[in-house]
Amino acid sequence: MPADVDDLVVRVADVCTYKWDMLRNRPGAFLLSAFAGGAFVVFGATLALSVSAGVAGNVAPGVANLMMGLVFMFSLVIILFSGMTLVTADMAIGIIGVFHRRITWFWFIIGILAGYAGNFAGSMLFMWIVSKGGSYMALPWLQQAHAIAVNKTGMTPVQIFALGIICTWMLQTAALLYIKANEDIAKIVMAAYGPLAFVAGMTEHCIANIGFLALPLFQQDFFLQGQTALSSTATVVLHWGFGQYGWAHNQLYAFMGNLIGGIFFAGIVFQLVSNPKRVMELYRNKKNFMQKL
Amino acid sequence: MDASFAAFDPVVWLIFGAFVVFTYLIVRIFHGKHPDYPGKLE
Repeated sequence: MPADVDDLVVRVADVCTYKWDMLRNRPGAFLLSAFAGGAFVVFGATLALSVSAGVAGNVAPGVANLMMGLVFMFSLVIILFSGMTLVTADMAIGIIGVFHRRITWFWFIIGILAGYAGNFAGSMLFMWIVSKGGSYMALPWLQQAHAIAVNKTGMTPVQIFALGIICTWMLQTAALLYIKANEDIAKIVMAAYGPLAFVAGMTEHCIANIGFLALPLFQQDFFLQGQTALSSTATVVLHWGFGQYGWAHNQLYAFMGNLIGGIFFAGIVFQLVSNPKRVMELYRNKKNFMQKL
Repeated sequence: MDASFAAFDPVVWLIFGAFVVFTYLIVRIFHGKHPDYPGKLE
C-alpha cells in the first residue's frame, strides 16, 4: 500500500532532514550531488534535442513535444533513484521540512541557492561538452536547438513566469508521489510522469533551460555560418544577458515561477491537506528521522 | 530595449513578493495554530 498523505509528509520531512544534514555536515558532497543532478537533467535535454530535430510542425503540432517528453522523462527517474539533488525538488521537500521544524527559513534559502549553484555547474559543463560533439553540429540539430532557444527566450516575463509555475506544479507533484509510492515500478512511473508532463507540456524548468539555452549559445557561431549560407533572411541572435532572447531573461523568470509552483502548489498543498493530529500521532512512535531518497 | 523584456517586470515581481509574504504567513499561522507540531523530534 502506498503511504497516505499523512505518512507522505512525514516521509518528505525525513528526506528533507537527510538532504539538509548533508548540506550542513558534508557541503562538498551536497554540491557534488547537485552537480550530478544538473547534468542528469540535461541528459534529457540532449536526448530531447536529438529526437526532435527535423520533425516538421505541419505533420502535427505537438508531435515533437511528445517525442521530447518521452525521452526526457527518465531524467527525474535517474535523479531520484540515485538520490542526487535537483533544486526544484528541494523547493517542495524543503518547505515541508520548514513546516515540520526540520530546517529553518535560513537553511531553506541556503539549500535552494546551493542546489541551484550545483545544478548550474553540472548542466553547463555537460552542455559545453555536448557542444564540442560533432553530431550536434549538423544543421538540423543546430536549427532545432536555436529554434527551441528562440521560443524560450522570446517570451515575455509573464509568459515565462506562468509556464515556470505550471512546470514545477506538475513536476513536484510527481516527485512527491514518487516518495509516496513503495514499489519500484510505481516509483518509476511517478518519477517519469513529471518530466514527460513538463516537457511535452511546453513549460519552463530553470535547470533544463540552462542546458536547452546554453547549447545553442555555445554553438551559435556554427549556426550563424550555416544559416547565412542557406538564407539571406535575418536570424535572431541569442545572448547570455537579460532582455529578449537572453539566457538570463529566461532563467530569472523561470526560476521565480518554479519557486511558486514547487513551494506553493506542491509542497504547501500536500502539507495542508495532511491531518496535523494524525501526523503528530505518527511522530509519537517515530524513532528514525532521516530517510534517503 | 522593449520595457516588457526588462529584468524588473512589475507584475511578476509583485506576484512573487506576494507569494513570499503569503508563504511565510501560512507557515507562521500553521505553527501558531499547532504550537507543538509535529511533536517529538530528536
